[in-house]
Amino acid sequence: MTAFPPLDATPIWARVNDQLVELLGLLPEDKLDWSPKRGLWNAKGILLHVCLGRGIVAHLVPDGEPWPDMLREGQTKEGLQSMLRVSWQRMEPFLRDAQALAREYDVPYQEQTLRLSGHWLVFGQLEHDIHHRADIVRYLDELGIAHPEPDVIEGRLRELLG
Amino acid sequence: MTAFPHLDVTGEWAKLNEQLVSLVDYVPDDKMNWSPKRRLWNFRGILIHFSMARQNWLRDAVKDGEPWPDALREGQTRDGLKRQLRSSWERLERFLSDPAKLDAMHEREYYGEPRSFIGHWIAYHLLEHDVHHRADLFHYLALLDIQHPEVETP
Repeated sequence: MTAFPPLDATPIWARVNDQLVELLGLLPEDKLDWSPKRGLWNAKGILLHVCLGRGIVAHLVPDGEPWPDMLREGQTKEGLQSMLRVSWQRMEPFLRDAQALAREYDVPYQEQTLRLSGHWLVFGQLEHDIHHRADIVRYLDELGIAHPEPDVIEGRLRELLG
Repeated sequence: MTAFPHLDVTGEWAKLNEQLVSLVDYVPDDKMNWSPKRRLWNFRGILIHFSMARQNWLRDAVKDGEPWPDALREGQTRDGLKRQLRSSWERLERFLSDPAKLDAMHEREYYGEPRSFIGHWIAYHLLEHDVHHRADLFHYLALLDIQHPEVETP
């Protein structure tokens, strides 16, 4: 598929979910429905979208457990934090399964069916998490709420040092 | 080291750089120095930051011995920004294509302290960096009501 060696990326990516939970914790409850401009998603919508998006990957390795009603559960900050944790946990079995990652899947998209590998789908999910974490960071900036900056090396150095 | 299999994702990441190059053209000339709020980086700063972060890691940690470009000077024009994005990606690709470098530990001084990073960690950091700051560009364009390509398409 590619001339590039695969990357040992998932353990670091897993921490993005903790950061999402942490960033959400900084957002006042009365700002969950806030967005900087009409037509842009609000913070709650973005974070629900992150949780629901993970369902695409999670459902590729069915565990027999019902998928939570995230739209209902994620209406409060605490509920949304819980859904972030649950959606990550539900996606993890797929990320740990080398055969499932290597397999190809039929994915319906805009009245077509695309044949996509598990790695491809996982890249989309990784990108999705980071992309929308950046949205939340910008929203906090625009609200003048101090937050840890994901794009500085200090945070990751602390992770390395434990 | 980990219970997670490695991810075959760099081929997809490679496509992201051309998207960054194309986004440069969505920024109007008179908005290159714009940011939505005082103290937030402007478009130009973010675009230069992509290239400089890549070059910094490859010079200071991987020590690939390649020449150091003047990204700040080059980044003052639209074409220069695009050239820097492309050349820094090409340099990064040489690192990402080399399994020995990905598996190796790389030393880098940080605030006077030597630190060691495995190549995979550096690669992930730069992938995350690209995605994070591309999101900034999309956000800024949205705030300015500038239509742009949708990021979330398969």
